[in-house]
Amino acid sequence: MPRQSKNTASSDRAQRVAQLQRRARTKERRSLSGIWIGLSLVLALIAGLVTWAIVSNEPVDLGAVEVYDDPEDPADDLERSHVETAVPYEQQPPVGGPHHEAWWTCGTYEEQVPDHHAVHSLEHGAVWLTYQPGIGDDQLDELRDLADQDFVLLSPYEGQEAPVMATAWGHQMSVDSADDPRVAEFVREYRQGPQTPELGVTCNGGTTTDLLGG
Amino acid sequence: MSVEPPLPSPRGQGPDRPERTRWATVGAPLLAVAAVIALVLGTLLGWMAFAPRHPGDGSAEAGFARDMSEHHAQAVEMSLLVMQRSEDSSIRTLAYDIATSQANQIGQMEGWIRQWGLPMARPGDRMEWMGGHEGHDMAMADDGSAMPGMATPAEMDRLRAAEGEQAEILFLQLMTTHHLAGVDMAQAAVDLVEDPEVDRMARAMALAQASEIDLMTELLADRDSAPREDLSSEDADEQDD
Repeated sequence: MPRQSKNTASSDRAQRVAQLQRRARTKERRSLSGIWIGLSLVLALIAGLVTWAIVSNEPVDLGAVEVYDDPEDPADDLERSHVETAVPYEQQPPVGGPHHEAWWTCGTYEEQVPDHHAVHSLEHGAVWLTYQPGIGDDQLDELRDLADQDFVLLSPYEGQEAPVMATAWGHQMSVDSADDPRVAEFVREYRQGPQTPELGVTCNGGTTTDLLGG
Repeated sequence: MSVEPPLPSPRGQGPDRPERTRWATVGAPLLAVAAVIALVLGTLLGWMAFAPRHPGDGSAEAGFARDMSEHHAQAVEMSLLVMQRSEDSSIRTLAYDIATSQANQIGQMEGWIRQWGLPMARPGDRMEWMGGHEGHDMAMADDGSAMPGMATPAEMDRLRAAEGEQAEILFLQLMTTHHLAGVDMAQAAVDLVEDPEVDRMARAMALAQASEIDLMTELLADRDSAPREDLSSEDADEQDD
């Protein structure tokens, strides 16, 4: 009878079952550790990507920029009218306001440029770099390098409060040295930047003489 | 007769491995891994499918747009200067054409830069995007001009001071030099950029400026003058390209 033959084989069978169970557990343990390793790798990858994204975009902090023209608040707008007389500006150098109809041609100047013309250049998206007369030659070279591009105006400015100042329409930053990486960052941020009241205009072909006669 | 115990399944449904334990040790981590992988793949897929593929800050596209804007700006200025200094209708038509088309192109290139969310100011030096790709005329300018082909400040002053035919000849010569380098830069862009719109614009610029060089050579001959460059070798070079 088949049953009898099974009975005789029962101890064999129990052994086989135990073996199968052992194998199954080992297999489970293996696949379990595989899952955890995979999970850790994926998490490490995500952590790495996030860290890389943060580190690679490490921005130069432009928190020192004074804002005089809040784009969100129209009441705060700096005046943009054209005038035929000198304007008493609040800031030195001025950051915006009424100005002469001719903009000052962007470029590097060894003499102070007239406020009422330079303000018009700011309106066109220029960044105006100014320095106290007498800063060192190496600092001046640094500024000349930065000014060697369209839409940058470089000139000395008698009586400004900091050795080097960077000005765009409604925005101004004072630094102690031209080496400060924030100066280059200021140029990148504000040259024809989002603060520019008149977009698509040139900073070439303006005036290079004071049309108000001093 | 013994009752045969049911064969325990190797998947562990027995009393020593309740379903709950299996869920905690295998099911939950498996689900977690699947969720994480799905999330990562989904994000990647979504990014690949929908992210705007803008050229980056250091791309040939951005470099070309920035450099050509500056190059064009001077051509616009020279054209407007000669329009104020010449009464000749061919010169005035050519100058009008260059000033309006290149000012328009500056606007398009600035528009790209803004659309790509990039600053107008370069991250590095002029022509870095060309990576040494520049042609024979694109050796770094050391004559005081900002870029190859551009007029020096002294040449611009001479143009401002000139009148009549003298201004016309100077304009034609300066603009020919300007255009030769402009064609080279546009051709470098055609070779390097991937953006189809930038490629289209660069090709159009190279064609337009090359045909204007021919026109300006004729206008110079009308005035018993010639370009400052030897353009016969220029034609041979262009055929090599």
